[in-house]
Amino acid sequence: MSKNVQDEKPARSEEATAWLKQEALAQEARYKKIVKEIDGLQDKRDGWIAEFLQIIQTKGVNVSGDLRRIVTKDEIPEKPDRPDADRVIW
Amino acid sequence: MARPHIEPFVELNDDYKNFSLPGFAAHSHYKVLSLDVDTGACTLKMRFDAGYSRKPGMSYADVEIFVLTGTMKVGEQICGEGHYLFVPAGYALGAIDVPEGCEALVMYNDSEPSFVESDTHHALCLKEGFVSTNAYEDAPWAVANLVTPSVASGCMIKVLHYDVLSEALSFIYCMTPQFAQDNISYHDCCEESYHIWGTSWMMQFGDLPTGGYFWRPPYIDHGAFRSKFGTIAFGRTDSKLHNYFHFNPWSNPDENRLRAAAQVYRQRPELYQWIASDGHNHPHGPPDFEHKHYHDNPQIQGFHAQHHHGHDHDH
Repeated sequence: MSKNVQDEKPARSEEATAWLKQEALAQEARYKKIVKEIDGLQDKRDGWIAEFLQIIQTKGVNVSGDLRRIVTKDEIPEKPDRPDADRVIW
Repeated sequence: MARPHIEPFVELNDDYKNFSLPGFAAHSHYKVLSLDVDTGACTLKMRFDAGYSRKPGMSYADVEIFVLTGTMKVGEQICGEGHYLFVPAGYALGAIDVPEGCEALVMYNDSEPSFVESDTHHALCLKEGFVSTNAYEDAPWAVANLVTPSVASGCMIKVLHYDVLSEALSFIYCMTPQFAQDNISYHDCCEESYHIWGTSWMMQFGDLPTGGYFWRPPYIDHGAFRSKFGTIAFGRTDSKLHNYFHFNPWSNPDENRLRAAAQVYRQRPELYQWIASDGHNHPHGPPDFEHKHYHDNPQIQGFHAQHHHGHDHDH
């Protein structure tokens, strides 16, 4: 087994533990705020998705680099009937 | 748990906090952009006031620094805007002096921020891994087709750091004005970005402006993509980046992960069968005669810590 500098890190200090706890709480609050903001874009997002589905049937979808292919109407996916269908933050 | 999905976070309107952890000098301030609440690994935006000074020393984590504004003197080297440092754990970085103020992204990759004053490297330090380069001046832009399938033309990249074991990348990238890519993407790796300048747009999240940041866990859809006036950004992955492109706006991470596994099944069937078969499973990674001790690498250990044990490894 090889050993690394990281393996010799001293136990986390009380100050570092408190800092981590404080920043974890702040991040949790930030995450909830982001979810709320992004969920609030749903009407716009529905429009963006509709536009995207049109573009890939006319101009095409990027397959690799600038190579595109036209997606046929029968290939267009349908929105699934499930609670997380509109979810984009995970 | 690993870092949560933070996307987007526009930090410019948030206040800096004083950095009060032991070992960190006065006159340094920070904002947490993302944090692994278990290991303490984090990405910070830091401000160093004019007159900031720190003696030589080391951290117990690999540290990456990208200078956003101003100048910092590290040892004898002047690090201006766009300067990138990869500082291996245990590397005694020279004294830091900031005569006129400076802002930087500072990333602690393995644990919470730590600093030990020292003018000699730790005995176990992988000091050959040290990188110091100016991203703006020292490398030409390259087309971003180092992975295939690749992004559309108009997205350019400069690779600043490459981990040979995990193929994790640190880089700057740009999108030219009117960049457009009409597909949806996801990856096996975590992806992180900070917009140094400019605005890009993604179909799921809308605009990401100057000062916009994201940390995106694996298998999360993003795209289509646009940038009206162009953008330049600093980015990282934590392992190999493969572009899985598709056009289903409603696929979720579980479906995306299964689709990725199906690709392995089709393209590397022997390997897939061996990994998946009962009795031959190695959740911590199978042996590798070339890299015998790769399990001990902190970057690789991090992958296991991030893995969600919600399923049986044996089938």
